[in-house]
Amino acid sequence: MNPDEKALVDDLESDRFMCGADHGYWRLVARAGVLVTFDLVTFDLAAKNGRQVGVRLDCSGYPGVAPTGQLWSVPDDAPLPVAQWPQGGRASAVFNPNWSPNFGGAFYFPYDRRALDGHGGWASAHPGHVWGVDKTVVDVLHLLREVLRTATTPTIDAAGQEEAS
Amino acid sequence: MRIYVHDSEGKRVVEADEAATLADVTGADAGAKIWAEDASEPLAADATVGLLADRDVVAVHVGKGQVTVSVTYEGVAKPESFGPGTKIDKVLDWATGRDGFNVPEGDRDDLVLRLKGSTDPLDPDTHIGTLAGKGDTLALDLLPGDKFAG
Repeated sequence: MNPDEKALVDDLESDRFMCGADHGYWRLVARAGVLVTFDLVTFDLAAKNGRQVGVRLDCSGYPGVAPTGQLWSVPDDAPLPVAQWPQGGRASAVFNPNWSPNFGGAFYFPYDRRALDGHGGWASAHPGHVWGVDKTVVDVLHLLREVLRTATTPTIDAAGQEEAS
Repeated sequence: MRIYVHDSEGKRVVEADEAATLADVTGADAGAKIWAEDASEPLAADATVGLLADRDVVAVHVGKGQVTVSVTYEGVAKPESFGPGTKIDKVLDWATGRDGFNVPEGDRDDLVLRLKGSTDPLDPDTHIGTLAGKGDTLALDLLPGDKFAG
């Protein structure tokens, strides 16, 4: 097993990752080497329902290099069509249909190595979100959930039924 | 059964049978109290693991007492007391909700909690008793999440 894959597996077996999974924040769907697929779940207290979105992360060079990711259709095991991307709130910027498709569907935030290229200013503008060896795939998943929580489409009722505690 | 044991320093995972007492499982010192996650009152001293078996996540906090959280939003601070095993996302629900700052529903989801004066993200399943450390107070800021542009 290569060092990046070993580091990824270690973090997927960490208490922090397991605690998030047990709370229903995410589910590990599949892993093939350094390619790993998750279902992310957010929970809307008012609506008593959740929004569920698949993501795939390419963790080549992990953890020295930030992953790059894309939204993923778990049922189709394929990239999620742009028309189905969550939008609204911070989601419109992170899942940017005008930028991301040109970069493999990458997330427009500092935990995606493709987005980091050309955005050196993010480190000073967002010191709480600087990728380093202290960050793990768990940080990526938490940030994605934080962004996903702000999305307004697709509607929560249409997107999923699973509850997170 | 897998049990997450949180305290003032962090969390660890232990495996235990339902018949085991939480005091034994956690190794809590005499005088310490054990709180179920998100509970406002401590468990009985002789409570067993089985008492929490119907929960999706079996997590407890070993601590001394409640934590008084002061959340500041748009220059106004509001205090509230919670059990030390309260998750940060439950405090967020309180802070944005009717009993907190009553933030309009369309704006609530954009807000996050950070340690006062910090921009570092907080895991939503972090217990406030861990963030408070050995103390019994915790100061947080309620502010919009980072927007990445440029």
